[in-house]
Amino acid sequence: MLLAQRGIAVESLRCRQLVGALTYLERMLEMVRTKRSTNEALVQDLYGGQEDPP
Amino acid sequence: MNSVLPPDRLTLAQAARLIRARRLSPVELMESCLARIEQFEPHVNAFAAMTAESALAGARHAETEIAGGVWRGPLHGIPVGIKDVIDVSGVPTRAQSRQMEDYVPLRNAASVARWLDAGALSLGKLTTHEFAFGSPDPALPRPPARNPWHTAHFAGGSSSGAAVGVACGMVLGALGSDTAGSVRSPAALCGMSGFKPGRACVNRRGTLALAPSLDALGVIAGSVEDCAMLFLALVEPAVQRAVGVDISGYPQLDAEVRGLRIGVVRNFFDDEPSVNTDCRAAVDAARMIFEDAGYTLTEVSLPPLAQWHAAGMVILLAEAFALHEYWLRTRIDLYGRSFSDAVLLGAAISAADYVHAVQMRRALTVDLDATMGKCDLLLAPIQGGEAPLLGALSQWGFLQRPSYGLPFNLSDNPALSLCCGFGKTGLPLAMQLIGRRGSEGSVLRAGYAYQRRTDWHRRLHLSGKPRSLN
Repeated sequence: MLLAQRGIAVESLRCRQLVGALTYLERMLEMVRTKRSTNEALVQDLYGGQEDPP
Repeated sequence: MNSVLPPDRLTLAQAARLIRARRLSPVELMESCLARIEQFEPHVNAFAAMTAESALAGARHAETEIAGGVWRGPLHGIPVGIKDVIDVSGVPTRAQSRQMEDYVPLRNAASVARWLDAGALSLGKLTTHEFAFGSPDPALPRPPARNPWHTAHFAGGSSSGAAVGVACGMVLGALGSDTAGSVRSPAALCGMSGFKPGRACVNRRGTLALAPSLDALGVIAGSVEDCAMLFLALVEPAVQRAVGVDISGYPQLDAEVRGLRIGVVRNFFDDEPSVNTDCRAAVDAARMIFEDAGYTLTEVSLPPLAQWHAAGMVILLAEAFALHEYWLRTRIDLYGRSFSDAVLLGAAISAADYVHAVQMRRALTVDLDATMGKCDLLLAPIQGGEAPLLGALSQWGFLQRPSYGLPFNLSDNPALSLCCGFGKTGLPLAMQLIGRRGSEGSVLRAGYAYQRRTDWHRRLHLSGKPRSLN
């Protein structure tokens, strides 16, 4: 569906194979999201990562 | 002109010195490379396109120039090859893709122009994976390069033709690109030396991008000294001076190293995919060589390889998808499956995910910098062992197995892979040296110090031809 939304036509068999590979990517995305999902990290990000005013 | 060794057994540095002394003719050297191409190319598929006639004409011109007292520097009259994602004027840049079939650039990439100005002679374009990514794909326009140590084995990627071309002595140096280890890995699997400097060192104009925030240009050659000569011809004088160069343009790699610290990245040897026992033993032996050279070795750890891989792959796939989205929409059938399947995954990465990955990259790099504050260099794996069989490669291997090269594309540190032994099946083993950002010279000097005390890197050259093809 993601591909169709972007106007990329991929036959259904190939889509099923890609869904299999997506599980690997999902694990990576989870790791990347988790790494920045603490309250402390969020506050730091809201301040643009700067501790002192420029 | 008579050289000491037959031309096909010379390193780039040896050939350069003989050419300057007029004891080796550039024409003789070029003819020797052409003879090796005739002998080996049908077995190893290193070239995407050959420019033998213009290279030979260039060699004749170089001979005339040098005889007339015009010597342009250490690369004058040296046969080289260019990865087929980097433009050479008048020669197709196909990037191993049917998307690029009709594209013939009208000017040289900035990197190529520098080499040609320095007198290097391009013998042609060297094969790669499609757009420098994915895995060997039989549906692509050219067959995949094969490992010269055993042609049933993988040559690494994506600068596979570059490593194979040098390993076979068909060219004396090659220009490649490195987004996630694409210079260092093929060099490692083919027993060559591969150097990826910091991204800003070498101008990438005229090079097809894969993931612009990770892409760097690098060089592959038979030795670290050869890599240094190729690298110095690509960079601005300020970088040359920082590395160390003599008045004739030769690198100055001899230096006092006593007291310099090398941190062995222990957890990279133990994290999945773990490094095999042969490679561990070879690196342990290399540690003693470095100690003998005067370095002090300590053990350090970096954030887990899986974290580097996650941040790096999310960034790479998102950036590659952004570059290729239009063609994926309008002419997907012109891509091979290996490349397009991989890049299609980028559609599943949201803008927020990309930003998270960039933030994670920054945090990982801060951790690495803290470690590098205590060491001058790092020693890490570049491959877990010998080259796998071509038939054993998995389409999704790049997702399943973290790359040892990618962390230093994320952090932008200079990194060098070099041969440190041979495994049970007789194929090369390798290790990776990493320097602080902006310290390209310290990495090259460490690699040179190692190779002055070992001869692993010279085995292929000394044998005269790849063993598997004897």
